[in-house]
Amino acid sequence: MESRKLYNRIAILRKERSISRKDLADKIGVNFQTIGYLEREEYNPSLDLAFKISEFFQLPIDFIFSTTPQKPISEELFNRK
Amino acid sequence: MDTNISISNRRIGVLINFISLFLLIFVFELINHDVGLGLTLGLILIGIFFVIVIASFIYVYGKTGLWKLSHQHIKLLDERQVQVLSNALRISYSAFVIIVLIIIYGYALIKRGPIDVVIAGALIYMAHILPASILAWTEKEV
Repeated sequence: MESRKLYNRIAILRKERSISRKDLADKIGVNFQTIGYLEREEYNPSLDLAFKISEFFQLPIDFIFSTTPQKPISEELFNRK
Repeated sequence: MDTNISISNRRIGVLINFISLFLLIFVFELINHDVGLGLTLGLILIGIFFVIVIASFIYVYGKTGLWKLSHQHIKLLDERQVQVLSNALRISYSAFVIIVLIIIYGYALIKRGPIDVVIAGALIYMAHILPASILAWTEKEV
């Protein structure tokens, strides 16, 4: 079964908070290479893992993950004003 | 997985491992059936191929941690690793069954009875390295 590609903001959120892949991986309980696959959008996380990531960054799940390509955060914030 | 070896180098390593294993069996069969290859030369060639098999095994499966990953308990793997390992095991099971059946059928066809000890040993080795080989071949990052 072919699943839809999920886009995400994990890479930018991680860099923004100066967290290494290894640290993020340890916090959410996955291998650090899995973070690389997530960031490159080559792997769709399970719902449980998506919630763990959302809880870690303390952001809504639909802000981090999307089924359509995401706009830059700055653009999204500017358009909301 | 510990060491970062590029996917092209891993693929070359997998090919070297399989080719040297095949050549090792081939030379053994030549010696076994006395087809002109001298015993001394045959043993030297077997020794060389054996060393290449071991060296390529250490390089591709040992240093990268792929051997460990493919034999790891499922509870110690994350969800992506479980997914890729399950896929590798599924493919390697199919491939292994086909290889074994072809060998048994080939032996039965030429009426040579059961397979010999070197082929049996190679099959045991192959059963263990096939999942790790598929991971070495397909995984972008190890």
